[in-house]
Amino acid sequence: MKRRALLAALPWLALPRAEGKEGAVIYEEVRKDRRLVFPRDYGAHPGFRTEWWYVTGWLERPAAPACGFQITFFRSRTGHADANPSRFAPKQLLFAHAALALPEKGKLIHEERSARTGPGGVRYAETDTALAIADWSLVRDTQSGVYQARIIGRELDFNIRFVPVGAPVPQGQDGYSQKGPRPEQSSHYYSEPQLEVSGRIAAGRGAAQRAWAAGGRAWLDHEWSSTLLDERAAGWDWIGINLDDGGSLMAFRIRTSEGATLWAHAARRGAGGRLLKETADIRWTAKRVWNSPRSQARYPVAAEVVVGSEAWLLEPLMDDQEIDARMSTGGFYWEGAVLASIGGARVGRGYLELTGYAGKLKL
Amino acid sequence: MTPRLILLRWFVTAAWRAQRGRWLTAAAAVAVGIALATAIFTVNRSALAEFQQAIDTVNGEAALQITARAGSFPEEVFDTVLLHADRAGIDSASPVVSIDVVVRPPRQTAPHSPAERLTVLGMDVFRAGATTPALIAQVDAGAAETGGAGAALFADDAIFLSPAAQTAYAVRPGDSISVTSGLLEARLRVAGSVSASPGQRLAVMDIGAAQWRLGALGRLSRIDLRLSEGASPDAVAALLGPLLPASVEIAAPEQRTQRMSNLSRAYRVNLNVLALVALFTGAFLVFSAVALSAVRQRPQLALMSVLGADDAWVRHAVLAQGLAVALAGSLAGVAAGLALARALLAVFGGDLGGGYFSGAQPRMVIDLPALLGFTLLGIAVGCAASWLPAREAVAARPVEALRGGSSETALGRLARYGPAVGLLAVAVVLLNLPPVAGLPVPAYAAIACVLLSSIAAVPWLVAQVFPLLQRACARRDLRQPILWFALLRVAQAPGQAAGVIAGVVASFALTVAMVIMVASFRLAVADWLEVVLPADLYGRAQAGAVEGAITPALQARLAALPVVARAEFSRTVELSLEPARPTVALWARHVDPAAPQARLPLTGPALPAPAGAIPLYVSEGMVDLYGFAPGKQVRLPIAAAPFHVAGVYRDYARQHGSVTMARADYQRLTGDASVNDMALWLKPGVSPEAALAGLTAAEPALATADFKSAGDLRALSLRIFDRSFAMTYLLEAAALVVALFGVASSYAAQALARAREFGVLRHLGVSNGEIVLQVAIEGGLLSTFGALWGAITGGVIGLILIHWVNPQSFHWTMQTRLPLGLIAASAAALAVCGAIAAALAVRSATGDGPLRSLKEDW
Repeated sequence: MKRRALLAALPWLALPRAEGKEGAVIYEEVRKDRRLVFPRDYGAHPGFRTEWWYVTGWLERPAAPACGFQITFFRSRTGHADANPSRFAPKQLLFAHAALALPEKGKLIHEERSARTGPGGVRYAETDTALAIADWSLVRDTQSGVYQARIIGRELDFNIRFVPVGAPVPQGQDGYSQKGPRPEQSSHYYSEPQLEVSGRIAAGRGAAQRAWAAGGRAWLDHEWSSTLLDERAAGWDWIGINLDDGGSLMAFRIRTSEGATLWAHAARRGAGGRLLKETADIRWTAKRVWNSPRSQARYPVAAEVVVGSEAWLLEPLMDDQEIDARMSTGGFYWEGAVLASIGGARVGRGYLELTGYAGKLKL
Repeated sequence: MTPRLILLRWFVTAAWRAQRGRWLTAAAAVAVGIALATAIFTVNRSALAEFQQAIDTVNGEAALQITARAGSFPEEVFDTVLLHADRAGIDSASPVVSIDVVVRPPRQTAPHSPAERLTVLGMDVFRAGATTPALIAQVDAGAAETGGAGAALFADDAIFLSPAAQTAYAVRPGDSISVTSGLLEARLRVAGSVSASPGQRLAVMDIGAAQWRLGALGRLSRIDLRLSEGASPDAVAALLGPLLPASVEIAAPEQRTQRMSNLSRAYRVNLNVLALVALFTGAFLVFSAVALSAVRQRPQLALMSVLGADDAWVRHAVLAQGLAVALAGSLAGVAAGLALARALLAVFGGDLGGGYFSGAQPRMVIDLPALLGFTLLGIAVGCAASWLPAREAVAARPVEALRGGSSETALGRLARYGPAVGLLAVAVVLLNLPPVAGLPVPAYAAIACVLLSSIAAVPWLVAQVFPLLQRACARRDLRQPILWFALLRVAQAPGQAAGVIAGVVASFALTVAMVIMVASFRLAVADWLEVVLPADLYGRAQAGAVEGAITPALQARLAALPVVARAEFSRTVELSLEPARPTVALWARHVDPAAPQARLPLTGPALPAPAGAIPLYVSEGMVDLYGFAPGKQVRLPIAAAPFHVAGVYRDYARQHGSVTMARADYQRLTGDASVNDMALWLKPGVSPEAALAGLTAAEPALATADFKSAGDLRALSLRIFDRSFAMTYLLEAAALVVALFGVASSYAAQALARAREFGVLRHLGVSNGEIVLQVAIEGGLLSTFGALWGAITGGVIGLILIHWVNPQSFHWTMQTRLPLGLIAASAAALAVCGAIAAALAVRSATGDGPLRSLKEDW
């Protein structure tokens, strides 16, 4: 689901200007009756205001502890008039984040790209996942379904592929995922858990660069929407856990500024994507709070999430997995690798996202 | 302190007490010269600093820039740059479209206030971060509330104005503003601000919005490049250059600063030379003050010699006086200069009325080393001026000197014509030398030589002319006693006379020279305007449209209007032929190859182009600056084909060069059929006002265009011309005032020095009034002589200005016109002023009784 992105992308989102200005952009709305259609829905949906492809996962490295990584592409439709024939017209913006969580480093290595579509190899496709901002790309092979990601930054170099183990998993009601009390507060949303990762990752610059042949499990979310969060929403908590038994757990809750849960949803699936449990009955309790020296935010980086009758304990790979996205999508958020356990026994590994903890997003 | 120094101090102090007024005048004269030089330098320094800062703001930290040689270039160049970026060592590239628009603010303060030009930079905020972070728009918090910063940054109608622009157009974020680019009018929303140097009017928009709203689709003005670590700009330019079309050039931003500085360089140098003239005049006053002081002190100096002072001490005693007055004058001058600079910046702006830069009033920049330099220059002038009197003082025989001073011995040696002839010969040689670094340095040196020669000739001329006059009067029995005394006195003391009028000759010569030059120039411009503005009504699409705004369809409709007898259209494009030089205007217009002189003020016959060659007419500047000589084959960045230079024309509007070609040729070569200027001949009996009303009624799109009748345009052009010479007039006036000061102070001193002479006259029964009359006649005679001689010298210098300095610095020629009436009237006024100054000076100094005056003759 990744409401996080919704909120993170908030500064870029233009409300259609009131008073029906001529040529104002009309965004497509999420429809409850719309079914996901593949491979079409792997591609972009430019009529919607916001869209993202979010890949997170754990990687095993030879002779080094496991680490976490994140690759995200955001698309944002601005309020810029469709009528503008300029190639530079900023109708569609693309943002990308890449982060590597190396436990030996103690904090994230994070890079980002921002661009308008148009000149300079900034593009998306509507037929399949095919995103590029110059030399950063995330492309799905239509025949095999295998994703290839390429990130070339100052301190990061990813060249990795993700092989799906099964069909994509629609979230919510056949891909219609409600995010607030009102039906229009929703998104189209599917996940690809248990992606098999292989490839090469490198961190550092020049002579100090270290590279690893890496392998592991990843999770992809693809979600698109046009409607903002409920006005009472201050942020959200989200998890996507690849379970050791081949299953998956996705859970989120939308918080008010007082910390109360405004909306919540969880889906537990078995190996092969079979839905085992779906509930709105979630209790999210902080077990340890980490104070960010950068944003002064207090993130509940360790938490107990009670879904129905099961109590999942989340423990981060490391405490400082905060991302400073002030230069692109705006603000700070926490996006980190976590271990999931039940009753003291590890059951899976995945990613936890915490947004809206660093105060109201400044523009 | 050694006894030598103590004595020296006593001597200088005594000299000061003896003739305070004279020293003050001399110091004031030096101060005026230094003040003018300081003021011009400081104003210019401030202006350049301002523009440097403005240019830095606009260019940001780009290591290299790709810019258009002609106006703008196709945006595909950007794709090419990105394609080769990695290989070429380019870290990031930021495309920019720069469009000059005319602004109509929502609250028009004055209904007919002149249109304001504003440069709008269309940028990609994501790419500009690496090259020009300072130019990233700052979204206003209020505007952001209605949909986020992104909504404002990427809106299709948002514009961000620098604080100075917001003030100038009286708008705030949230307001709307109407801008015109070409004939396109866009209503934009002020969504925030952009930082700029104080006073700089600047706007930024999103590049996509700017291309669309301001009529620049598919076009870019520049691409800013940031290089990868270790990549050298030269290597990047060498690698990228061959891959890019000929319509663009790659240059480092510093070259653009150079271009800005070159823009006004010749004008600045001209003003600086005028300031030095004022200083030069001051030098004569220091000279005459020191010389007369030395003469007065002769008995004392002789006594010191007899008592054992060596020659060095005597020389130092005289030099110290010059040094002291020059130092005082220099310091006062630097202070006054800074005050003047502040006033000039406020009144004329940074270009001293030259019209080179538009925009805000620059902040004053104080350059301490330069100010020290000006102080030293003043001191050097003082020392040089006292050198001759010091030598005289040493050479004087003590016994003769002890008996009292005669200033004539000191200055009488100067009554020779050799130096004058020598200097004139040097001037002739200098005039045959080519300019240095594009500046008429030898011609200025020649002017200095002519001036020095003229002044050096004054004592000799006085010694020749006045005895002749005296004999003539004697022959005709014109022995009116007072006139006779006056004539005798002047004829007998030519050296002293020279001291009195040297300043007058120098400053009046330069005034006359400037008057002749400006009059010739003005008439030449007026004639030129007649030729270049043959039509009745001129219209221009508003500033800066990237493409010509008047489409062929509109052109056809305009030509067919009932009030219009004939319509001609033209297209102007700025060409960059060399990165460090100001741009050259390309004018594509109606030119009949058979009779180009009908539209162009050619300086010589047109050369028919050989078959197949495209005829190109060039301004005089093109010949000097780029070697576009008649008959030559030349190339322009608009086409691969060579052009044939078929004629040279005068262009007083563009000192940095312009070229003209037939519009049909231009259209064929570039495919650009649009235009931005129109010239309309009206049917008989139709007034420009009526025609304009009909025109805008028929074509509402033209409502934003700027129309002027030929008469208005001529008047406007001449008004701009006069304004650009306002500073020149100011300097002339200053030099003349200094010269008149010189006459007054010379006579004030003479009144003291000639106390015994006046005593004898009073003793013989001449009344005080008659003495004053005699001195007035002397002053009038000398001033008349000075004015006549100055006018002759000025005529020669005027010729040098017209035929050497102007073509070499501004690259245009003109014919000489002599405004004789004006010169004669000024000369008469000067003669009268000289007489009055002398009379006033002496009257206040002859109050003592005759007996006391006589007693001084011990």
